Amino acid sequence: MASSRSRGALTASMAGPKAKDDPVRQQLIQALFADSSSSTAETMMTYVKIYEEEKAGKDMKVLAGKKGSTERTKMLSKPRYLCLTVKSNGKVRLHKVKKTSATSYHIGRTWHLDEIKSIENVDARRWTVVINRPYAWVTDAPELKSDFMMMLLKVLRSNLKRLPTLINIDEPALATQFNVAREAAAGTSNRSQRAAPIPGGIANSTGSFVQDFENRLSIQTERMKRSAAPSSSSLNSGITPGGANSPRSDQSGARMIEEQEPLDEIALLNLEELLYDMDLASSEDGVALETRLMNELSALEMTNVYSIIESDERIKDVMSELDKGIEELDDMDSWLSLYRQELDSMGDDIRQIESQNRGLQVQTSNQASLLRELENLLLSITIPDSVLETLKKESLERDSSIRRLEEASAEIQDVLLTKFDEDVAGMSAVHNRMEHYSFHCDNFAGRLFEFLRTKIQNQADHYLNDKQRSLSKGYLVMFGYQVVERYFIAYRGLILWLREMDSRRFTDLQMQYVNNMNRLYRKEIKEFFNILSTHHVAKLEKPDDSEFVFGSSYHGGGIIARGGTAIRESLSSPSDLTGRIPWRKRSTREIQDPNVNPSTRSHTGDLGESSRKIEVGQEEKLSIDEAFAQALTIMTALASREQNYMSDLFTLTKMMSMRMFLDDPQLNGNGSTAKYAQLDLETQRKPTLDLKSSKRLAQLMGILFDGLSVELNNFAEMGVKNESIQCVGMLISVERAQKEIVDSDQGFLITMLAQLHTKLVGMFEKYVEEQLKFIEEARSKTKRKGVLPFMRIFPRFAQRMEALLEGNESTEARQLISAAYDKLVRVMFESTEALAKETVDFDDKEQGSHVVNIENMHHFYSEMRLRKVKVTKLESYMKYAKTSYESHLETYVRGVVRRSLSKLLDFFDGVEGLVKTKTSASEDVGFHLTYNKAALKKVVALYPPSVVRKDLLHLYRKVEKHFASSDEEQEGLLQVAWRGIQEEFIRQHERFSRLIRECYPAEANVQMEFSVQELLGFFSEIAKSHQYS
Amino acid sequence: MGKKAKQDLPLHKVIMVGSGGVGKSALTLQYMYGDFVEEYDPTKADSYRKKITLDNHECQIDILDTAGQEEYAAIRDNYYRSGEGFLCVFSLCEYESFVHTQEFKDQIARVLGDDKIPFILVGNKADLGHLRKVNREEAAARAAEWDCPYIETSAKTRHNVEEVYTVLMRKIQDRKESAKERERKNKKGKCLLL
Repeated sequence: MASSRSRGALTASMAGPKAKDDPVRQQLIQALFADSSSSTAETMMTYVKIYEEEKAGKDMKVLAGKKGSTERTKMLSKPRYLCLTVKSNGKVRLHKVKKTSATSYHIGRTWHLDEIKSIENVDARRWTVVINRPYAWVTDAPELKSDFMMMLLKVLRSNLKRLPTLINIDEPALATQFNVAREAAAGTSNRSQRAAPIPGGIANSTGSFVQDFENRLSIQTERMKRSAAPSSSSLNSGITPGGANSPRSDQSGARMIEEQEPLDEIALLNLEELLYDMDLASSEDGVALETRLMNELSALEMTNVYSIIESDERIKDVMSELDKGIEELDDMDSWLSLYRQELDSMGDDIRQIESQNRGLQVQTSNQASLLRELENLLLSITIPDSVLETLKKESLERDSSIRRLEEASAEIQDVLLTKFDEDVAGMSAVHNRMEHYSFHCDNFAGRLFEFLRTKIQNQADHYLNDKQRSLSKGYLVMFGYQVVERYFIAYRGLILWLREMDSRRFTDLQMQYVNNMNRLYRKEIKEFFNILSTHHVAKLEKPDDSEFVFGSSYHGGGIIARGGTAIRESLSSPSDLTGRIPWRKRSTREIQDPNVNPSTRSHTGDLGESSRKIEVGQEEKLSIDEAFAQALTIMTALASREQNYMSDLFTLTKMMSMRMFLDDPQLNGNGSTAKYAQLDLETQRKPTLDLKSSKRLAQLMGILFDGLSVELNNFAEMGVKNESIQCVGMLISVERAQKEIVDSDQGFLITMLAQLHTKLVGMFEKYVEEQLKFIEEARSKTKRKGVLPFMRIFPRFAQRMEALLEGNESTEARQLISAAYDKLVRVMFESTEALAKETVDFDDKEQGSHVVNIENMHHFYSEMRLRKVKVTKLESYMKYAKTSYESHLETYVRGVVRRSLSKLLDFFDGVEGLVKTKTSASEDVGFHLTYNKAALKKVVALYPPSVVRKDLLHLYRKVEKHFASSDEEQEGLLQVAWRGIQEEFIRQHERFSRLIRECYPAEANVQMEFSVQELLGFFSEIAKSHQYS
Repeated sequence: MGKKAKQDLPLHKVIMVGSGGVGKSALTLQYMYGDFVEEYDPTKADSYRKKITLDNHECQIDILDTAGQEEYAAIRDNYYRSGEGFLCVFSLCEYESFVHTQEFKDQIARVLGDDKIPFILVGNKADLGHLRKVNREEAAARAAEWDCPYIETSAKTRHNVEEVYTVLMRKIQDRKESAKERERKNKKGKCLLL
C-alpha cells in the first residue's frame, strides 16, 4: 500500500506538471488513459517518442551511422510513442502507441515489465529492447532517450526482483545526466524564487523536472517531520529520497532535515558553483559530485544520530531502568527454571507411579488367571464322589453296571494319568487328591481282579463237572466255551483298564484265565482223543500187518474185515478210488466249512457243533489217518479261536487305550452280546509286529493247551505203531494244517505243528527204512514162485500215496514220498533179480529165474499202469520193468525150445556157424566131418513126429506149470509164453529146412522128419486137449 | 485140464482177434488205461487184467491181446481154446480186414466146436468217417448172419469202447450162469436117476 501510494504520489508528481505544458502528453492521456474511474484505469507516468527500425540489422547500423538526418530517421518507420503507465493496483506496463490521426492514438502493443528481457544502449539516440523479440528504437534526442531509460530503469528496479540484462548502460552516468538536469531545474526554480531565473537551453527540457523535484522534496520533508510510518518501498536508490522509508528512516529523516539547511543556506552557494561547473557539461564531475555529496550526507547522519543519543539524559534513565528490568527478568527466569525442575521431577515421579500401577494391574490379572487355572486344575482332577462311590460299590454283574463302571474307571484313569509338570504335581492339593484317587483306583482294581478270578474259577469248576459235556462212544465233540467267551468279553473294557492301571494284576488275571481254562481243555482234549482212539479207530488186529507193509503176512485182495468195520482195499478200478478213501472228502469239508459262512457264525457267536464234531456212528471206525486229520482240524480250529479270543479279551496285540475302546462304538457295543458279536474269532489274523506280545500270546497258549501237543503226539504214535504207513496220511494232514496258518499270528500252533511234522517225517523215514529191510530180507526168506509180495504191495502203496498226495504236489510229503519210491523200487528190483537167480522151486533153475523176472516185471509194469501211478520219478523203473519182462520172456522161450530140440539146434547152430565164420561155400559144409550128410541124417532121425509130439505135450505141461504154479492168481502169461514157443518152433523148423536146402545138395534128399503141418497139428491137438472152463 | 487159480473173483477171459492193424491193442489199452496209443507197434501177444464192477458184481477181466498176422492160424488154436468170449475186430477203413473176419469166426468155431461162444463183431476206427470203406449195413448184415451183435467203435475217441467189453462180459457171465444151471440140473437129474 505504501509503495503504491508513494508511487501514486510519484506518478502524480511526475505527471502533474508535465501535463500542463506538453500537448502530446495531454493528447495521449486524453486519448488513452483519461478514464480514471474504471478499476482498470491506468495513469501514464511518462512517454517518449520513438522511431522503430523495421529490422534490426546492418542497414540500421549503416543508417544510424549517418547522424543528424531526420529525414532518414523518418524513413525508418512512422513515429510511435512508448508510454509507461501504472494501474491503480500498482502494476506498471509499457505501451507502444501509434498516432492514427492528429489527435487520436491507438495502443499497438502492451507489455508487462517482466516481459523485458534486456535493454541495450546502442548510441546516443538508439537503443534496443528485447521483449519477445528485439526492438530497435530511435528517439529524437539523446536526452529524451536517457530520461526515459532512467525512468524505465527506476521503475524496473522498484517493481522487479530481477532486472533485465542491461547492456552498455552506464547507470551512474545516466544518473548524473539526470541529476544535472534536476539540479539545473532546481537551480532554476530557486532562482526564480529567490533570484532571477537562470536562463538556459536546458530549462525547456528540465524545467518540469525541477519543479517536480522541489515538489517532491517538500512532500518528503513534511513526511519526515511527521515521522511517517516506515515504507517498504525500494525506491531508495540513494538518489531519490522519496523512497527512503527503510528502518533507517529516522536517519534518513534526520539527514533530510540536515540536508535541507545546506540546501537552503550554504549548499546553494556551492550549487551555484556546481552549476557553473555543469556548464562545462562534464558528466564525470556530476557523478563525483553526487558521490561526494552522498558521503558527506551519510557522515553527517551518523554524527547526528550519536549526538542525539548522547545528548539525551533520559536515555540513560531508560537504560538503567532497562537494566533493572532485565535483572528482574533474569531473576524471574531463574525462578521459572527452578519451577521447571520441580515440575520435571514431579513428572518423573508420576511416570514411575504410573508404571508401577500398570505392573500391579498385570500382577492382579495374572493372579486372577492363576486362580482360574488352579480352579480348573482342581476341577479337572476332581472326581465326583458319585464316581468314587460307583467304583466302590457298583455291582460287576450286569451290563448296565459294567457300563457305569467303565465310565467311572475311565474317569479316574483320565485324572490319574494326567501329566502334570513337576510343580503342579508337587502341589499338595494335587498330590493329596492323587493319592486319594490312587487308593480308590487300587481298591477297584483289587475288586475287579478278585471278581474276575472267582468267576473264572467258578466257570472252570462248573464246566469241569458238567456231565452233559462228557463224551461217549459215537459222540466226539469239542464243545468249546462260547458261553465263557461271551461272559468274559463283557469285561473287556475293564480288563483293558486293568492293563493300564495295574499291570501286575493284569498279568495275574491272564494266568488265572489260562490256568483255569487249561483244566478244562486238558481234560476235554484227553477225553476226546481217548474216545477217538479207543472206539473209533480202525486198528489192525495184528499191528503193522497191512497191504501197505512189505513185511506183512498179508497178501490178499478183496474185502478185508476189520473190527466190524469194512475198510475196502482199493484194488478195484481207479475211478472208485477216491470214494474208497472217504476221509479225504470229509476233511476237505471240514476245512472249507468255517469259511462258508463265517459272518453268520461270528454274529451268533455260536459255533456249529458239526464243525467241532467227528461224525461217526456208534460203531463206526475211521482209518487212523482220517481220524487224525479230523481231530487235527478240530483242534487247530479250537486253539486258533481260543488264541484270537484271548488276544481280544486281554487286548494283547492291539495298541489301544481304554478310552479308545470305550469311544469306539464298533468295539464297545451295548452290552456283552453286542461286544461278543463284534469279535471275529474264526478268521486267521496277520502276525503282529510286536514280538513281545506275540511271545506273550504263545506263552499263554502253551499253558492253555499243554495237553494238545501231548495228545496229538500220543495219537500219532499209537497210529503209527498200529500201522506205520499211517504216518504219511498224518504228515499230509499236518502240512495242510500248517498251510492254513502259515501266514497267521498263531505262533503256538505253528511251533506245535512244526514239531509234529518233524516227528512224522522221522516216522516215515523209519518206515521206509524198515520196508527196505523187509524187501532185502525177503530175498532169503521167499521160496515161492509167482509175483513176489512186495511187487504186489508196491503198486498199491504207490497208489495210496498218490491218492493221499492228490492236490498236494508242492508239499514236503511229496518229496519225501518220491524219494521213498526211488529207494524202494531200486531195492525191489535188486531183490527180484537176486531172488530169481536163487530160486530153487523150478526143476530148471535157469527157466525158473526167467519166469520170476517175467511175472514180477510184468506185474509191476501193468499194475502201475493200471493204477495210473504216474510219477516222473518212477518212469524209468517202468521202462526198465517192461524191457526186462520182454527180454526175459524171449530168453525163456528160446530156452524151452532149445530143451526140446537141443540136438537139432546144436547141429544147425554149428552149420550156421560154419557158413558164417568160415566164409566157405554152403555146399562145403557137407564135407565137414561133424556136419556131413550122415551126421545130418542121424540128427534129423532123432526127431520123428512121434517124438516131437510127445515133447511138445510134455513141454506144454511144463510151461503151464511155470506160469500157473503159484497158488495165487496167475498173470495170464501162459498163453503169451506158449504162443511165443509155438512161433519159435515154427521159426526153428523153417531155419533148419533152409539150412538143409542151402548146405546139403538136393540129391541127398534129406529132410526134417516132421513137417510144419504136423507141428501145427500137434499145436491144435494140445489146444483141444486143454479144456478151459 | 487147466489148473484153475484160486480166485475170490470170477475171471472172464476175453480174446481180441482180427487182422493186423485194425486196432485190437488200441481198444485194449483204451479200455484198460484210458490211453490212446497212436503209434503202431505190432503185438505178439499180451495179457491184461483188471478188476471191474459188472452190474454191481466185482469180477476180473483178463484180456489176451493177440497178433493179427500170424503166418499159421494153428498157433492161435491154443489161446482160442482159453477164450470165453471174443471181440472180432476189423477196420471200417479197410475192406479186406472185414473180409478176414470170416476166417477168424470160422477158426474160433472150429477150435472151440461151439458156435454159441460169446462173440461180437467190432467195426473200429469209426472216427475216420471220411476213410470209411465198410458200410454199416453190410457189417450189420454179416453180424445178423452170425447171430451176434455188431458194434462200431473208436479206440481214439473211446466211443463204445467201454460198451463193447461190457456187452461181451455180460454175455460171458450169462453163459456161465446158464452152464452152472445146466450142471445143477444135470446133477439133480443124476441124483434122481441114482
